[in-house]
Amino acid sequence: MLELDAIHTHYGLSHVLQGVSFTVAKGEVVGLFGRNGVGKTTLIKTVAGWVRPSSGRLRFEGEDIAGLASDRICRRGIGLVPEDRRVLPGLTVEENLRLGLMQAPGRAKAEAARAMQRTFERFPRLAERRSQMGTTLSGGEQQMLAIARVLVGAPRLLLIDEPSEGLAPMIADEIFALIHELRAEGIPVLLVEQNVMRALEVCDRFLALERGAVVFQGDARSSADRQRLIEVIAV
Amino acid sequence: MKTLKICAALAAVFAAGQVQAQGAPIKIGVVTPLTGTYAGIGQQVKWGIDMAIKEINDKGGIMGRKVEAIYEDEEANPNVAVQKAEKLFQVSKVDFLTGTVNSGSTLAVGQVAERNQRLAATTVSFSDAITGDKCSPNVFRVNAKAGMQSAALVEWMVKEKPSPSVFYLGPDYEMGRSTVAAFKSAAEKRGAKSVGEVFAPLDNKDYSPFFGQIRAARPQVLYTSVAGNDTVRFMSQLAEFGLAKNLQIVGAAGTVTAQNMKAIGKAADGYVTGAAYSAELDNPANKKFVADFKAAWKADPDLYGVDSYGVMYFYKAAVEKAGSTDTDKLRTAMRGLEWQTPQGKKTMRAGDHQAIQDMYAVKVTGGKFQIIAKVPGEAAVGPDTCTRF
Amino acid sequence: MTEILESLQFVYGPQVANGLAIGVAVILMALGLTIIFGLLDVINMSHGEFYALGAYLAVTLVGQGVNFWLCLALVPVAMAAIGYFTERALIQRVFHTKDRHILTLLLTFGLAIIAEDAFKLAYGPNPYKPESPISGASEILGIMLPNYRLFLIAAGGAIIVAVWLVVYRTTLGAMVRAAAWDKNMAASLGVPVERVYAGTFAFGVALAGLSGVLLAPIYSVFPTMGKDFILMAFTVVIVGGMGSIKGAVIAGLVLTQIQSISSLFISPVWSDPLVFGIMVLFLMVRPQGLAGRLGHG
Repeated sequence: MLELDAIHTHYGLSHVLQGVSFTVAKGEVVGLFGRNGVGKTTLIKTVAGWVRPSSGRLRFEGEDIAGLASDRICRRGIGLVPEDRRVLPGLTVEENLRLGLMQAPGRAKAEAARAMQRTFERFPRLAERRSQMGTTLSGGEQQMLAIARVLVGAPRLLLIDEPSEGLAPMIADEIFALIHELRAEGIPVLLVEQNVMRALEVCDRFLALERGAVVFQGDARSSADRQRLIEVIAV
Repeated sequence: MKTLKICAALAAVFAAGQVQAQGAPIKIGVVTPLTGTYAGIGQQVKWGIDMAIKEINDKGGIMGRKVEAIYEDEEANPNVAVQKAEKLFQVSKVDFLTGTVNSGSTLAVGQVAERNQRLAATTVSFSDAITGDKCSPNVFRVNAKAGMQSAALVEWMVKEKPSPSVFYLGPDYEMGRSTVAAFKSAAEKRGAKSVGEVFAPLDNKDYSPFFGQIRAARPQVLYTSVAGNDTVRFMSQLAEFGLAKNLQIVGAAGTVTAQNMKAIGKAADGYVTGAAYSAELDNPANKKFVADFKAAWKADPDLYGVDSYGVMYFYKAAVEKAGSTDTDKLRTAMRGLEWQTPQGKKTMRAGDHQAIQDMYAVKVTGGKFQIIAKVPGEAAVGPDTCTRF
Repeated sequence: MTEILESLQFVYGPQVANGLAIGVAVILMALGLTIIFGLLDVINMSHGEFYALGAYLAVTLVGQGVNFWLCLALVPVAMAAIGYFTERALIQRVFHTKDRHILTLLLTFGLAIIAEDAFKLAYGPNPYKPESPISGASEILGIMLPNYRLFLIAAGGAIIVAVWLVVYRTTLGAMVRAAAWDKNMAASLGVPVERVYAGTFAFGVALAGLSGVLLAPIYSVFPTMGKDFILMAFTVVIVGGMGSIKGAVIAGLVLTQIQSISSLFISPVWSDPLVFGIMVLFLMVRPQGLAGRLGHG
């Protein structure tokens, strides 16, 4: 579904991704772990089209998406839940959600309305606050909104960057429960998360990133692989 | 004996030179704006002069000599005008200089003429100062000055509406204010009551904020000295607000012109101003002039065209009277000279070098100026205030 | 007593009413400017010339026998196309550079100079004025106001409300605001950011063109007309808060009233400096303007 082959990404003079290769298959949740500054967020941004890879192949559903503009990548079916949530200021909750519909702009009105309806049913707290400014929500609600506005567009792959960051444990639980649901629904996810232990609970597989390259891939259910991951990212 | 021979030889040479000079063309230097904002006026100046020279040459020139014009573009900039005038006197050796449009250029070129001991005349500049406190023994004005234009308008106004109440609106800069002040003092001397005045910024876009004051003052006559596109806005907005009804609008010479009349449209109808010329002037000389001008240039002559045409006949009459192109003899001949123009007979006043001519009150009717009254030149010209000569 | 009533009827009443019509005109100019300024972060120095172009297009069309009311519909469409093309062909090229503020400012300033000379070449230096499509004047509460100005106030008010609704009550408007606040995030939600930028610019230019048509019968049409309202419009945008429609409306109404009323007490030449003084004061004390700045944090 998503294939990265020897992806290199530069930020000015710094060479952040140094040949990353991996795949995400249909229906799987893949965790992406590593210490701060190894390039996790850059990897997400590269896939989302915010930064252009300097070399390597980036394919989604068999088609090359390297260098495409973010809005085109989004319309191919890749939804982004970015670090810090990036709830759009000056827009209401409902407007934030409505923009999510842009992922599939050709949709019929009735279908779009149904998607909105389903989203509000799934996130009743957002429904209550629909005409409130998005930025006035609590951190947890903002994270919900950031995920919900991507879900209305029915993405075929989700990129989620640090969803539990800065949230109280109870709220973080809700977020992980939500990702768990997505997994049950068969939506593939590439998940970046600091809280490795919690994240592993919702993942099928994981990748360990070090100095801009994947150094180790493992099965989230295998305790041996988990053990090795902890060694890699703790060293 | 030898000396005699040399003397005779020299005399012969001089005589030959004299004969040659008699045959050489008379050169007229024309310093006028041929490009820029005033290019339209410069065009009329050139058309008028070229037409007069052709007529004069076709009839044998001036005292047997052909006349030739040499043009220089002054861009309506006094500094450029000075350079071009100097060049014409020094390099082209012109006998006479004319053509300057804005008053600043005329005053500057006048000083160049004094230095070169040659004569110059303006056919366009309005400023009273040129034949007033800044008069020059070497500068003549064949066109009517600003004061004559407003004097003619005052004469017509007080005849039409004895002791009228007048409101004044001018653009807020030196020329706009002085024009209003001159008209106001002339009008008050003839019994007009001033009921208010306002000065709007130059390039003012909306005059409606002043309309309340005008309405409250209930004037019979509104005098304005705005010009160009300001006139378009002012007059059309007056009409828009229904203020133009029961109000006689009068104005300065440059207020309504051929350039902005079309844009003013119907709102210009009924506007009256003082004028030194109208193409409608009903006399044989003018009819012939207008017909020839249209035939030659495919355009109507305006005030600038007719006065620039007239200056050549002024020069011709002066040279023929003096029998020479010598500066001092010519100056003497020009003083008090009477000559014929399409505007009628003009007289050059000796005391200030200001031409005296009949003036007219003209009214805009259907997009054209129609003559509605004539004011004798002597009544319009005012006293001689030149003290330099 | 009658004197007071009379001065109310003849002087202050009309002054307020006239100020209102001028205010609407200024707000129409400021709207396009504030949208481009606040949402695109581009100081469009050629806004006045787009206004002039709209007016010249109307003059040309009316000269061809096209009905004035039809021009009111046709010109904004043509201007939107011109605006879209200008953004895609020129502004987009410098928009993503580091010096975009200075580059877009210089670019649009250059366009303004070229446009002004192009008007002179194409139409000559003399002014034009389309005949007002509505003639006559009406008396309301004893105040005479030309019918066309009443129409201008009504139409201008409707346009202001319509623009507000488009920007704040439609998904299209949400896209524009999103692209203004967070270009990357908006794009990752599927908003075609580049086209939204061009479309926003086109919208602002169409508004300038529409103002040009609406105001031509009052203020006439001539090559330098672009400079006419632009200073006042910039002042309104700064005082109102860049990108804020509400702020532009309030500032537009208040500042034109100050200008209008003050011209009764001080020489009219000083009412412009007075208004610009207020702008300077705002820049010093409250640079975000009345309503705060929209977009770009």
